[in-house]
Amino acid sequence: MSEKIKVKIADYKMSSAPDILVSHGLGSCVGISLYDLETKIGALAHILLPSTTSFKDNEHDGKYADRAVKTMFQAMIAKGCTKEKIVAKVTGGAAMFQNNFNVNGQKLVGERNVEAVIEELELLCIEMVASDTGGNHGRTIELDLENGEMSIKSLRHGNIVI
Amino acid sequence: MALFALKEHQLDALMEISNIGVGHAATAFSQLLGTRVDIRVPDVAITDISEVPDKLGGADKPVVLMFLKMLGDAEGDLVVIFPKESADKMVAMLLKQDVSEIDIFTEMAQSALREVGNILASAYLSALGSILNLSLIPSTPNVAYDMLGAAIDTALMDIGRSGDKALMIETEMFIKDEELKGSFFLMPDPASIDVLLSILGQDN
Repeated sequence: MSEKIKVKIADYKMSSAPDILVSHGLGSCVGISLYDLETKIGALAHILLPSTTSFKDNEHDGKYADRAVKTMFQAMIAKGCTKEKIVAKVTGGAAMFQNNFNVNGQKLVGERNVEAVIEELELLCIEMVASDTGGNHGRTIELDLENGEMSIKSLRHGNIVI
Repeated sequence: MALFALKEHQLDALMEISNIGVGHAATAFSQLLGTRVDIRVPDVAITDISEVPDKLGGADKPVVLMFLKMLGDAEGDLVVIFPKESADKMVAMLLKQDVSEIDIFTEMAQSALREVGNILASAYLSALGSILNLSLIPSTPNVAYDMLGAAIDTALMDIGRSGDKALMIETEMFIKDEELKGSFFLMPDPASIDVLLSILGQDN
């Protein structure tokens, strides 16, 4: 039986086919999935911030881009996935408000989240096979562990599959 | 001050000041719309950031969300959430149009929503400021119509930088006949919780 497993904000979940990993309402947060087609094992994180800044009161492995990608990668290898077979898809990182607060020359946090995820993927030599990032709209994503397809729904910009 | 160390009577005190704040906001809202506005008994909770969207009604729910920074002597995030249908009704009342004619993305509707955000936040914070004898100023409001989870995550980022827990003080106002409601959430920055509590004289 296929089960839909919900990934909450600042969290990650790993499972295998025929399960589906779901995360609702990504705004400037980033949804990052790792998937191995051979073992049909995959993981999905709903990350909130670019990098681990403080070690106190941080219970969530899925909260920061760097830690989330590393933790999921290691967990999948521990489950028997081969490093070279694991591919990544990245989505989210929108700018939800027209006049965001950190505008003085700084990049918006959504954009920085996407960059931090990509940096970590490069560091671990994980190939990013697809992405749908930016814009100013929220996204709900589903990762089908049968085939690694990620479907993306939004309220105003229709639905796509990457 | 670690959030988990907050005592019940301190949470009660925070709830009470938010209640008074929303009372003032509801009065302003009532004058704006020309109808009676009621408020519901407030709730205060220390919530893990991953639970915040569910606590607000679900990450997928379509909402109009107004997001302002509380600035001045104490800082934090002020979020006002209207379910999509409530926001449509509110804009219809303000623009004196039929609700079926309302398109929330027109410049007129957006401007009306920002104005509502301004009025509610100013009334709320000026009431809080005068009770606490603090200068509290709202930033300009940001308005988004989207899934709740997507619209709230910018606010959660600010809180998430310093920890995993958010202090949420919730108060709801509603118009009974119109089935219109909006919820206020004040999420003080962790450093400002100390400021609020020391003024309330509740630290023992």
